Amino acid sequence: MRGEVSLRLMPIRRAIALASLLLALFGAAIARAAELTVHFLDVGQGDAILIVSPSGKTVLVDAGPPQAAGRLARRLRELVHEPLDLAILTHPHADHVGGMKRSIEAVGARLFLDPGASHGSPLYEALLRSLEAWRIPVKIAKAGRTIDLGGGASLHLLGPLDPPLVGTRSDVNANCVVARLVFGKTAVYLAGDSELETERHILASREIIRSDVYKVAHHGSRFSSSAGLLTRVQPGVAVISAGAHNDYGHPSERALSRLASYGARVYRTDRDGEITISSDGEAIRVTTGAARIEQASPKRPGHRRERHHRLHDEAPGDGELPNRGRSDGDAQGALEQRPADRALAAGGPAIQSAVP
Amino acid sequence: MPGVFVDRIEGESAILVENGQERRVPVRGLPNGVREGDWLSADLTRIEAGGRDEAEREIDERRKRLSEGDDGGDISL
Repeated sequence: MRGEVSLRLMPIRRAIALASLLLALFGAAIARAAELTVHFLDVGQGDAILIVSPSGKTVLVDAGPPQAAGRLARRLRELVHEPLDLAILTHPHADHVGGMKRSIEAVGARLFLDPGASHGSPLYEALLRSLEAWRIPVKIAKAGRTIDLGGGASLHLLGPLDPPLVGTRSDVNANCVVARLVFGKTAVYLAGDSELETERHILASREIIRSDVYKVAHHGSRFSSSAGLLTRVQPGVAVISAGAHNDYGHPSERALSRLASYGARVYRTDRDGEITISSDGEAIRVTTGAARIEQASPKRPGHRRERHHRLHDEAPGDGELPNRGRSDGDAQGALEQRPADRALAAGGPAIQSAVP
Repeated sequence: MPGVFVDRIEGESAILVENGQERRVPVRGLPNGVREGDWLSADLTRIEAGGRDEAEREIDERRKRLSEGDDGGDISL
């Protein structure tokens, strides 16, 4: 009799155990799906960034130089399986627009955001012609516009400014798309190739710019990433997209030294390959070395390294970081001490390594 | 627009776009006063008069046409 009961209960217990396992797996899948991911793709000397929102919306920000177009298209096909929900061109210099046409050709796009720049580049013109032929809707970027990426993530445009800046070292750079990507308590500042004048105007606007990750302006040029900007952004992580052994001196020693003095841990596509930032809305995780698509740089053994940046726990600072004022609009006070836990972002241990 | 396009100036270098590809040359080797957005002759010896305005006008017109449906408001994907 007892045996019969036991036999009857067994399937129920198994069913409960199986259901629990499925729930746990499903829960883990949901938790994983609810992440924001930002891929800083290695396109050599240029920018190409793929954002995947927690709801799966995809946004390509710039598409590198023409010489990396084929390799970028291949990488996008690996990462994107439906048309991009949005393609953003920060500005029409060749190292940003060069692979855009081919990228959209490769994976498609539902919407294009244009910087509205006056620049007669043949690459830019060819792209606009193609957008017209493909009937892809075009919107014009402007500071103040917000883009809802779904799943609680949004892009807040800080540039181009209106009216546009004129008479700068490069008006095309100065009027590029600058955006702050926000998800939960985390943020990524996408600086494009913005110039000092752009930074001054953004600082004067009193917009919230504090961000955990700073996509370093203009490949680490000495003409950007001012102390004023870094004081307000307070990045724990800085990402530089530059070509290995490039002829422009990017990143400049001056920019690197400023970033170091602000305690930002610097990742570089020329050294680290593709850099991926993941955010669960509370903390960010950095993964490097997923893929190298730059032909010019020497091949390195494939490796993938993850580093977790806990930005909101209570770990004490390591004392190496300067205490910095926080004068951002989202700060509670004009001069609030930088959260000590950000020290981990600058020196946290690599906790996982894996072969891609 | 035939010729060579001055895409940008990076320090002492000018990055030109020719046949869809980037080409880097020293600024000092280009005509005086050259700036980003200019068009040069194929041998890089002179700035093509009117080339800049014409190329920018064409692009501005095309962009205006393409973005006719843009209301300028926030975007939801």
